[in-house]
Amino acid sequence: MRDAVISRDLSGEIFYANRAAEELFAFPPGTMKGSNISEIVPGLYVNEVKRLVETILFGEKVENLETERKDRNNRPVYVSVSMSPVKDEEGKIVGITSVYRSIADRRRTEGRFQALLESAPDAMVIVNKFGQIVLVNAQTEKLFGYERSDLIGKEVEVLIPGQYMRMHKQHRQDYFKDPKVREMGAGLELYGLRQDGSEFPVEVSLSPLKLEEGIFVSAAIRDISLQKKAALELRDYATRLELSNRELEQFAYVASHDLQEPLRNITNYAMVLEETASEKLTEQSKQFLKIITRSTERMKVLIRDLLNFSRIGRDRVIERVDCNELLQEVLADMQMIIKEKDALVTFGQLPVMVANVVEIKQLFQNLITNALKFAKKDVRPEINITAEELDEHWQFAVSDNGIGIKPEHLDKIFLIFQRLHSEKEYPGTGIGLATCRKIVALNEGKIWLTSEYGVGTTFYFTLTKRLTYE
Amino acid sequence: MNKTTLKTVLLIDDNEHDNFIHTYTIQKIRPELDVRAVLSGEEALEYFTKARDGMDNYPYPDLVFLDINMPGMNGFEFLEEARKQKFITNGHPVMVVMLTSSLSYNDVNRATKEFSEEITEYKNKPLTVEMFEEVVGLHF
Repeated sequence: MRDAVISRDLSGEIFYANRAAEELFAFPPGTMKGSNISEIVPGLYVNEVKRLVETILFGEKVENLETERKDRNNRPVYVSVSMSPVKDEEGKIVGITSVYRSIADRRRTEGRFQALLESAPDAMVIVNKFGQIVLVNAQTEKLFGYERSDLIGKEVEVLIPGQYMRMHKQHRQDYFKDPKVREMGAGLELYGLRQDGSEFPVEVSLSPLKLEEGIFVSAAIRDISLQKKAALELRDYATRLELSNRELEQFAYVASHDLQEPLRNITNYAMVLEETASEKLTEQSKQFLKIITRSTERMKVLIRDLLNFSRIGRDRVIERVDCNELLQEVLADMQMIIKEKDALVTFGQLPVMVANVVEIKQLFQNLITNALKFAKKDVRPEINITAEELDEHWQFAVSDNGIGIKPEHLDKIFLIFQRLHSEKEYPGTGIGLATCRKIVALNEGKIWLTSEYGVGTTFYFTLTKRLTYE
Repeated sequence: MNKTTLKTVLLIDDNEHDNFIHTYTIQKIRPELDVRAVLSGEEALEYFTKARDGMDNYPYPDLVFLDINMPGMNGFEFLEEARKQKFITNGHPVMVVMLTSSLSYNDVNRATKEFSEEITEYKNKPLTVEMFEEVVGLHF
């Protein structure tokens, strides 16, 4: 197809148009002359044409500018246009001649490219090596609040808040020297700048784009305000959870501590009553008093264990703990019950570690108490304690030849107040192993067990080697 | 500490019920003992001052049961002040038993570190006949 040629005067009135021009812009033959050039300029391009006219009047040429015009039916016409002045005899510019070449074929390819861009979930901005924006998608318009036409041709820095602009220009130039697919500003907090001046957090991925015209960079920009907000909310939630946990612990501590006194009064006055009013009481009343005393005894144990539980981790002193010495002490404290059960408690070489002595003592004491409590009635209880060094932890094992635990109960036994036996059969509060678990957690370790019902149980726990003196 | 005859026991505890029960328990097995009770560290200092000055009806205590958690001046603060005034370590020997509702490791730790001169025993409330006999048997 031949090039379309249109000449018009400075008011825009066309005084010459060839056939090709009439065909390209869908004017019936002979009707283009006398029409105004504005009839083929879409609204969005009025300003562009004004600028082009100024360029010509300034004495410069316009060559092969790719742009958009419209035909008489308002359909877009994609053209490459070159413009030159029309001068009178005295050399004064009196009009402009424009030569249009259709680029519809190329536009179809670009159209597909554009379609691809539009289907991307992120805002896509394509920048040439001068940093000028050459293409954007609808998501970009939405995200940054610009019309497409406001962005095309501008430096990409219009989308970046002032304080990052200079750094960005430098980075952009460096990127073009060695373009690779990568995240922009990895590890940095990046922000986008909307037309209204507001800023928002973004994540940007860059990839080089090789086209006939040279190298371009496509930037996929994602608004991460929601993720940021979610992360903040999560942090806030964690803080509140921690606070409420602390409050709960404080509550358990205060409650168990303060419950002791009224309980003591009940126990004590029941005793005084029994001793001082004995002859006045009926046998039945004495029985009632006994029940009161028994119940308060049980409650005392519950409160003591609960208090011990809630005290763990409070005012924690970290010091050198020789587990061998410590275990000797534990066994000395427990010698009455060990003798009574005729138990054999042995231990191998144990480590010297850095920990809180009360916690470690409690841990061994609870596990040994458990082993003694759940011994078989007719077999001499044997308890063996060993330790093994791992990379970051000490691992201990406390094994017994007791009654064992049924597999279906294994996952329950570390829960507070969880008991597997009746009070009559095996008295207890259900706090002992929960206490162990809490201690082990404070020592960045784990506690678990293996057990064979009717054969015996081994409790394992790990304690970190990383604790240091304060 | 020289073995002396136990005549006067001083209970320092803000809890009147505990004081009542402890008095009751002590007098159950040792009715001849003079058991006195004060409700705070301040009152205890006052008692010691009057006893030192030989005031009538303020016999010098031989044995003290001391609570730690008390409003106002607590047990430790009382001991600090009593040390300054030499109520416990000088002249008349006084045995101090720390008697609290729940022996916390930190309290015992502080007691052994700072007040081993004054405190000889640590016990949990309530004071029982056995406990009393053990303490008295060891030191009197």
